[in-house]
Amino acid sequence: MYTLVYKDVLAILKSKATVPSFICIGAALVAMHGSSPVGVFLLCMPTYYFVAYSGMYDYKYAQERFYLSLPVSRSEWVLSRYLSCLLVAFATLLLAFAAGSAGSFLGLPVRAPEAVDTVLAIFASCLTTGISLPFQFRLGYDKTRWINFIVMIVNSAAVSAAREMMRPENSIVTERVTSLIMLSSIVAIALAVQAVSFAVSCALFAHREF
Amino acid sequence: METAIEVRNLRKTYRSFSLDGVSFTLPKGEVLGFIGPNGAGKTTTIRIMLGLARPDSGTVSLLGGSPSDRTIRERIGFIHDDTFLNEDLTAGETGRIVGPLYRSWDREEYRSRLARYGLDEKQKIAEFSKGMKIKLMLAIATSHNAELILMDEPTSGLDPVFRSEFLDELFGFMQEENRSVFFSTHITEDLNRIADRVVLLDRGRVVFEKTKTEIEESYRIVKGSIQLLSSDVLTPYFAPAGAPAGAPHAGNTTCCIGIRRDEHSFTALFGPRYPEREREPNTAGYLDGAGAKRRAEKSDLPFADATGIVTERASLDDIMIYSTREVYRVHAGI
Repeated sequence: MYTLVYKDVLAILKSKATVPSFICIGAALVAMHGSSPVGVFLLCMPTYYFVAYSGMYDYKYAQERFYLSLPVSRSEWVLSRYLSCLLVAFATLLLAFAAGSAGSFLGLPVRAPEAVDTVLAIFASCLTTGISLPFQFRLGYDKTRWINFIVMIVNSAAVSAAREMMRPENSIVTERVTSLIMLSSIVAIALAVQAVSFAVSCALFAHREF
Repeated sequence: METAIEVRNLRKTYRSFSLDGVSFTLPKGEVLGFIGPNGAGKTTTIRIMLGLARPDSGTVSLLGGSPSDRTIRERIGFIHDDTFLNEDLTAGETGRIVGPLYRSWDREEYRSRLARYGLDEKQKIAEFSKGMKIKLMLAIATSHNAELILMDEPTSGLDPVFRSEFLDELFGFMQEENRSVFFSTHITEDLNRIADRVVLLDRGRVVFEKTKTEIEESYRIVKGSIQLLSSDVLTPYFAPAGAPAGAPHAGNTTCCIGIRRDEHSFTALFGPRYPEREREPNTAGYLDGAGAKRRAEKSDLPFADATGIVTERASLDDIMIYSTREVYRVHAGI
């Protein structure tokens, strides 16, 4: 299993998606310094690129035909892609923390992600993979490029809504309790989205022919 | 008889093509050539054998188990007609990804094969030629002590030198006991050297499954001037329908399978009747008879008799072409 995750991560590291991913992380840190909500979207962009590029490589080289002929089950193939996506999302956050903290220390106009930013970025990343992957596993990359636009719209609406609900004036209890509940709820929703998406992907991929 | 592959009554229907009851067997330790023109259903059959497509009905057994069984897949190597690998990666990186998927992966064997094939571990696969990519696939397929190798037209598009090298390597791999090879190809020349048996597929149906010896003994090419292309002249080239039992090709089992003709000459393939073809409309045109002339059967060399008709052994190419090209089969109705 880990070798398939290694394959996906290695492929993305050697792809052209690496440069825009780093640019997005840098831009996110600057945006968060200015308290712009765009920062969260920029933080989920590396995951977005990863989902798109890994699907593109499968399509371009018909990799499934090779790997599914090896001792690899279809559910392993699907699971490895989800794990790779999570890995990329967490690596992005770690990098953002490290770069943001270092930048702040050096007096640059950047800010490391805070708890809310982190949770919303995880939420956005989970939505990205949760929506895109089942379509990719059913129809393949080429027929599902349109889904990327939908992911962007859904992400934008969902993150804005979550942010809105977390404002103090919309709280019914104290600010701290509301924030905690909200953050936990968002994480729970993100995990649920991933779980449902994984189950759907497995079911769809099981019937796909190569 | 222990079997490496047992395919029974495989059926799969697509919008414009269907596999129609494909069955064949590969005994352990043998090489099976799976031939047929483009679109015959070879790749579809292999995809089903590898679990990449599901049959509508029928069964596939590889090394006595199901193709979806992980322990069975551990014992199988395969070579597709393309690499299907991320070509931005190097051969070394690919080995590091594929290796851990097999319990019996031999890293040193893989590296030594790469070196022997002249493949640089640090070179991107995209920079390899087509022949080098197929050699990389061969290195992957043979570095985990596979008992069965499945190949889907690995030599198509390769020059004769690469093909020869590839076959040498495959031949070397086969020297170890009980290793079996399933070799799908439309380059029948490649099979002359290594195949023990041949399955001919055409339009989703198995036309025949025979050992190479059976093929050599039962097919003949007959050539002559176009004026000689008549039942009267060709009659001596068939034993009468009621030939005695036990005689070669007795029992009305031999017929004219196909004829190619132009303004001046004709070339015909004679061989065993294909029972499957009885269902097809043009079968009515097949000549009845009971075997090409016995004299010619005993000779490897072309033989011309007093009438000017030449008989010779048929190559696999001849057999495939005359058995599958519709235009020749229709002409068989002389």
